Order: sequence, then structure tokens, then C-alpha cells
Amino acid sequence: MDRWEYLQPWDEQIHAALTAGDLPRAWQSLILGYQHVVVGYCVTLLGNQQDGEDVAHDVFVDAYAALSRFQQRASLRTWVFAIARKKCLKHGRGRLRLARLSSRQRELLLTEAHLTPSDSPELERLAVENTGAQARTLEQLSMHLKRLTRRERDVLLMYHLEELSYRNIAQRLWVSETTARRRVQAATARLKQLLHHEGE
Amino acid sequence: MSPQPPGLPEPEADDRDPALSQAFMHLLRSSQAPADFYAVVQTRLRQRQSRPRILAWLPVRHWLAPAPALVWAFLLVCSVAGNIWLGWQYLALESSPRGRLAGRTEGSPPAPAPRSIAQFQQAIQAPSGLGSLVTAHPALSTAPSTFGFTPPSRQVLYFQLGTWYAETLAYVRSHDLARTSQRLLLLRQVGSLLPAATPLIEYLEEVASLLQRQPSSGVAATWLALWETVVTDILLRSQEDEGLLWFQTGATLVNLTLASAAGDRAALQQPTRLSAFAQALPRWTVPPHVSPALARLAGLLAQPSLTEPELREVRQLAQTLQQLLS
Repeated sequence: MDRWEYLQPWDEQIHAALTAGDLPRAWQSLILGYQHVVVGYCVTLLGNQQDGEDVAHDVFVDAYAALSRFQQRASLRTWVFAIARKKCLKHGRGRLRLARLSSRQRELLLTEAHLTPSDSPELERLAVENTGAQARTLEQLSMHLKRLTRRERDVLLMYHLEELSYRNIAQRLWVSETTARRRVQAATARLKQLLHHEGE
Repeated sequence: MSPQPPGLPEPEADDRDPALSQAFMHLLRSSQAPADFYAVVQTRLRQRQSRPRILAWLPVRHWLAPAPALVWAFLLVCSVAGNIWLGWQYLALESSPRGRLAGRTEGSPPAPAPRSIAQFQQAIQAPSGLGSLVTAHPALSTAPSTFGFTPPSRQVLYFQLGTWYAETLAYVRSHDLARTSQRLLLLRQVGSLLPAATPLIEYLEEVASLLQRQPSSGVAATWLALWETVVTDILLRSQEDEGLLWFQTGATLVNLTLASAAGDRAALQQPTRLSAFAQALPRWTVPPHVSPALARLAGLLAQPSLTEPELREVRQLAQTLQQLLS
């Protein structure tokens, strides 16, 4: 079973809307379908919940501008992750965290927004799935990922989550394939070591 | 293992750990966006669309809280302006030695380039010979230049070097072998105290040798006249622009003394490097009378014709400056 199968209905909706030229609907479907995944990706890569959520908002704002240029031949998931990764790395470089929204501005945003918060059906299903031992494993993984460097988290996400090949990772990082392989293997080994110590 | 044909994707062993990949997948699927996620994204988009295009690059959170962004923008503008200003200053500094040596000032038409020390001297009409004028109006004492434990400053050494160089030239042109040899010895003594002394000393030794072997041929005089080029080249290459200015000033003051003593008004009209020296004067610690004396001297030299008292004043001012600067 494809790990990303649960996104398939959303992908079909987005493609249909794009084919019909209905950009707002495509964008709405993109947010509703991918919001949790993108938040998870950004939080994991940045290692910080607040920063991850903040950047995830901007990912979709950027996606709106880029959606009209999206080539439907490519995978929507890869495209969204590429935008998310770019925003996360840019966020890290900028280090301008002083302009975080104040609580008053956040309230203002919610007052201005006309849509109620979305409850994706996916959430309900996940709530059932994430139980007991699995939740504990995920908690450990999340904790240890934060102990890795951002570069290590970056290559781990590309390799284990996005399932990119070493060649594609090398192209994204502007390094040789050997270097990309070495980085992935080193990061994987470090993460396993951390998990192993936890198990003992 | 057979080599992979070019152009085909390289087969890659999938060493992904299924458990780890699965864990990542679960981690991502268990993430939950905040309840207001959709609303915030929509609002950010509307705010970005409502912004002027010129500010489109600014992230939304900076647009909502513009004060820090404005501070950063202001600092950025200040930084760029500062860099431009520094670059401008650097370029001005780079071009200044040449500009100073040519006696040019900003905004004024380019002044005629000063002639070399030997050329200036050659233009002086002195029926009695320049050597006798030097003897009659010696610039500096030829006593040893160091007393006790305090050696003279490098600027003074360059000044003395220029002074005695001009006097040596005058003597060698007058075929006064004894005094030429004495001055050559002084030049070598002073020159040996300066950086990059070896080529300068070796050159002077060659001149002394030529003077001994061919005293009346004029070859030594020609060689000595070219020594200025050697000095200029070496000092510029060793970043001793200021030293060169002091050297040229020492020689120029001797030449002015000789021209005024000879009563040659036309020779005094020749361009000199004194204005460049006067411009650079605030950088150094010199006696307070130097600046007014230089200004008065420049004023006299700028006159189209000089009276006899003014000629005497030129000579006195040149000699005063020699005493003050050495």
C-alpha cells in the first residue's frame, strides 16, 4: 500500500481544479489536504513547533503564487515539499524572529478570517491510529530529531520521508552524489544511535 | 562489476530502513496544523495581495509589524551608503599619491608636471657655476646626523637625502670632485639608515667608482641624475610615498636656493612639488613656522616677476625651511 495513498483524493481534487482553471479551489484543496503534512515537515525540519507552524503558513501563501505555474506532470507532494524546504531554510538563514506576531495581531487575523478552522477527516483517522506504543515511539523520534542538526534533519527528511534518491538529494544540495550518500548515512546512523541509547 | 553505460541512471541500492521510514511517515501524519491554520493562511494571502508591489518581497509578519522591518531597512541603507563612502575614500586615497606628486588639486585644471631635480637644476643659469653657489649657501651642516641615542626621524633622513642629493648634483656638474665625493659619502651614510637601502647604496658606489675612473667624462653626472628615478621607483614600490615627498622637498629647496642666489627668475617659475608637500603637512608634526613659510614661498613663486628683495626673500625662506625641516 502506498504510504501517501491517503492524499490521493486531495491530489485528484487539486488536479481537477487546475485543469478547470479554478485556481482558488485548487489552492483551498491544497491547504485542506496538505496542511498537516506541511506543518509536520516544517516542524520536523526546523525542530521547533512555533517556527514550523509560522513557516507553514507562508508555504501556502507562496504556493498560491506558484500554483498557476505548477506542471501537472510532476508530483504535487514533491512540489509542496520543495517549497516547504525552501521556506524553512530561508527562515533559518534570516534569523529574523523578532517580528513574530503578537497575540493581538493574531486575534485580529482570526477576526478578519471568514472561514472556520478546518477539521480534516484525516485528523480523526490519525487520532485512532496513534495509540499506545506507537505514540511513544513517535515522541522519542521527535525528541531525538531535535538533537540532530538542521542539515541532518534535512537529509533524513529527503531520504526517508520524501523517498528521494541519492542523485536527487545531491542535486538539491549542490553536492556530489557520494557526499549526499555520506551525509544521509551519517545522519541515519546518528539518529539510530540516539534511538538505540534510549532503548537501553 | 561492469561499468554503467553513460546516460543511464545508476542503479542504487535501497538501504532505507523500513522501520525508520515508517516512523518518519507516522511522525508526519500525526502532526496537526493549528485550528486557525486555514484562516491565517488566507488572511496572509489577502494582506500580501493588498501590499504595494514594491513591498511584495517583505514577509507577511514583517508587513504586520513594520517597525522592526523599517529599522532593518534603515540600517541597510546606512550600511550601503557607508560602504559607498568608504569605497570613495579608498579610491581617493589610492589616487592621491599620484595626484599629490603631480601637484594637482580637485576642481582645478591639471598643473604642468614638475620636472625632475636634475632637469630643474639644468635650467638654472649660473655663470659662476652651481657648485660655488652651494658652497656659498650651504643648506645643512655636514656634521654627523645622530647624537646620543636619539636618531633623526625617517622623514628628516629623507629630507637630508634629498638636500644632499641636489647639492651633489650641483657639485658634479661643476666638476668639483672633492666635494662631490664628500657629498656622495654623506648620501651613502644617510641612505644606509633607510629601508631598502642596499640598491640605493650600491648605485651610489657605482657612481663614486665612475667618478674615480672617468672624472671628466660626465658619465658620473648622468648616472647621478638618474639616481632620482631609482629612488622614486624603490620608494613607491615600498609604499614610502611620504618619504618620497620629503626627499623631493629637500632637493627642491636646494634648487630654489640656487636659482634665487643665481638671480634666475625664469628658473624659479618652474613647477615644483611644494604645494603637494604643503597639502600633506597636517599629517606630520612639524614646527609651527613651516606652514606660513611655505605659504609665503608659494605666493612669491606664483608671481609673474620677482623684484630683487623678493629674490632674497625666496632664498631666505628656502634656507629657513631647510633648517626647520631638518
